[in-house]
Amino acid sequence: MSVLQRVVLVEDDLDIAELARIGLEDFGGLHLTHYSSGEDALKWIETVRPDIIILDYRMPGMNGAEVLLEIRRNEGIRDIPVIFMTASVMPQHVESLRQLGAAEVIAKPFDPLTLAERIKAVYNGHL
Amino acid sequence: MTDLEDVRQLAIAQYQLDEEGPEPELDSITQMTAELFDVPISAVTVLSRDRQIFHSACGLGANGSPRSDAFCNFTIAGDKVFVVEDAEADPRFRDNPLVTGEPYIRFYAGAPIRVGSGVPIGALCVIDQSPRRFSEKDARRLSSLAHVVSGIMELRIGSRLRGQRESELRAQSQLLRATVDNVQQGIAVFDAASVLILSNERLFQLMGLEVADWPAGETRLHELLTAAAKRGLKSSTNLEQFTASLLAPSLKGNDPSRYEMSGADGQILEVWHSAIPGKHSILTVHDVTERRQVVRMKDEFVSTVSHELRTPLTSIRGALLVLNKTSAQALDEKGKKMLEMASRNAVRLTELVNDILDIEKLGSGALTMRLERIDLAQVLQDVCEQLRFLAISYEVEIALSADHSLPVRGDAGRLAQALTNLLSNAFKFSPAGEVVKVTGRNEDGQVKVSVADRGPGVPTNFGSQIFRRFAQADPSHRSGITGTGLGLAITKAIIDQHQGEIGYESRPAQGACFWFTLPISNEEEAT
Repeated sequence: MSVLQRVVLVEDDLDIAELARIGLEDFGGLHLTHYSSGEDALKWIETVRPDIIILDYRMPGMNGAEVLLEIRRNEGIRDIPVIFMTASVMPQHVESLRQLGAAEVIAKPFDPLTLAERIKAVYNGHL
Repeated sequence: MTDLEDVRQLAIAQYQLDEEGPEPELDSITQMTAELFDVPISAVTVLSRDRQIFHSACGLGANGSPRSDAFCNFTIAGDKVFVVEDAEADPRFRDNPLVTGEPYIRFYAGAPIRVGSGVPIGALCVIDQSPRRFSEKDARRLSSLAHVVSGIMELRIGSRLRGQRESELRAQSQLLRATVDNVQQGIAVFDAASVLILSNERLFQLMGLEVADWPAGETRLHELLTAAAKRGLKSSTNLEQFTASLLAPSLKGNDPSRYEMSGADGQILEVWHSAIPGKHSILTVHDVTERRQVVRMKDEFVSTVSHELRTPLTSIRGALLVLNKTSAQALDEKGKKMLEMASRNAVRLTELVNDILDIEKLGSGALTMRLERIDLAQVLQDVCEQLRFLAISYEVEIALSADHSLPVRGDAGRLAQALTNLLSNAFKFSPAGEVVKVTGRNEDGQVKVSVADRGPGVPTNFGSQIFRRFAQADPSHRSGITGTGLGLAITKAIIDQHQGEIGYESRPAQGACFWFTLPISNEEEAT
C-alpha cells in the first residue's frame, strides 16, 4: 500500500496556503508544493507527480473546476485524486464539485491541526 | 308604516314613478275612461310617501295633491274597485279638502294599479262633481282599464330598465377595457373555441407582435403563442412539442399552464394560461426579467459574502489554532487570555456567517435535507460528546438519557445542527454548576427529544416569536449572553422540514425546556 507523501496545493490566498503548509508539513509530516494559480500548477503537476491535489475553487484565472477538467484530460495525471477546498457552502455547489469527480470537498474555514489526517483518510479511501 | 307600504314605496322608487309630471302615453286612456263613464275627471295616480302624483289627469289642472287627502288611499287598501257615490254624505270624506274645495269631488270610483310583484302603487279613478251610482258592470270595466294602465306602466318601466342595464353594461365594459389596457401584464381572453375575444396592447408589445395582425374574432390561441414562441422558448420542450401541447384538449380543471419565452427586447416572459368560467381561458404575460435578475444578484451576493468572509476567517481561525497549539505555553496569563478571547470570537464570527448563510438558504429553499433512516439516539450521543468541551467552558454538565433506539427518517447532519443549537442555548443560559438534561424518548408513535436547562426561563411575552429570525430576549434577560438570534429559527426550519414539531415550556427562574418531536420511522433497518 502506497503512503501519502507529496501533496500539491493550488490556492491563491497566501495566508491560507501557509496555514495548509503548517498543517500538512509541520503537523502531518507530508511534503507540500504550493502554486498560486491553476495555470502554474498545470505546468508542473506532471513533473511533481503528487499523490493528491488540493484545489481552491475560486481563484483569479482558471477556477478549481477548470483545473480539475484539465487534470482529467491529461493521461499522465488524470488518476491523481483531487480534493476541493472551498468557502462556498451552497449544497448545490458542493454537489456539483462531487459530480465533477472530486474525492472530497473540504469547507473553509478548515482546522490546520487535523487537515493532514483528513487528507490521509481521503487518500486511503481512494486507494 | 306597514310592511306593505315599504314594499310599495320600494317599487315606486325602483320604477322611478315618484317623479311628478304627466305622461302623454297615458292621457288617451284617462280621456277614454272619462268619456266611457261620462265623468268630467279621470286620473292615473301614484301614491308616494307624502304625495298623490297624477301621472295623467283628464279634467284636472294640478299635478298632484297631498297624500293625506287622497281617495286613492282607500282604493289601494283593498282588492276591488273602491266607490264613493256621494262624498258629502260620507263622514270619511265630507270634510276632505278635495270635497270642500277644488275639484269639489262628490263621486269617486278607483281601481288599483299594480306593478312588479303585484303591490298596488296607485289607481285609475273617475270623479264627478255630482253624486252618482256605479254598477258592478262599471266596476268591472274600470278594473279592466286599470289592468291596461298597469300593463303600459310595466312596459314603459321595462324599457327604462333595459336602457339602464345597457348603460350599466356599457360602463362596466368601458371599465374592463380601461383595466385591461392599464395593467402592466399582457392579457388575452379566449372563448371556448380558443378564439381571441379581448386583449391589450401590452401583450403584443411584450411578445414583439403587431396588434393589427392579430384581430379579435380571428386570432387563435395556438397561432398567437406559436408566433411568440418562435423568438425563443425557455422551457425544455421544443417548438413542435409546444405547439402540439397547445392543440391538445383544452385546460383541465383549474391548473394553469406555464411557459417561459423570450420577449421582443430580450426580456424573460412568463406566460400563464388558465381556465376561467364559461369555458373561456385567459392568457397573461409577465415580464419577469427584473425579478430573475434580483434572484441572481442575491445568489451572487450570498456566494460572494460566503467566500469573502470565510477566506480571511480561515486564516484567522487557522492561525489561532496553530498559535494555541504551538506557542500558548510561552504566553503569560494576559497573553493566554487574549488568545482565548480571539479564538472564541473567531468561532463566533464563523457561526454567525454560517447562520446567516443557513437563513438565506432557508429563504431560497436551498436548505436541502438528505433524508434517510437514522438512529437519533446515536446523533444525541455524538452531539453531547462533541459539545462536552463547550459545556465545560460554561461550567455546566450534560446529562443524557435516551432510549436504546430512536429510529427516524432524517438528515443526521442537520438534526445534529438543531440539537447543537438547543444545547448551546441551554449552556449559555444555565448558571455555573448546573446540569443540562437531554432526553430522547419513543412516545406515542413519535420520537421526542428535549433539552432542559436551569436558567432564567423564557420571558413570558416571547410566545412563539422566539422561533422567528433575530428574535432575542431583551438585554436585561440575557445578562451578557450573546448570540445571533438565528439559531432557533434555523432549528425550527430543520424540524419543520422533517415534518416534526418544536416547542418549549418555561417557568420563570426555574429554567426552560425546549423539545422537538419527529415521526418515528417504521422502515426496516437496512441489512
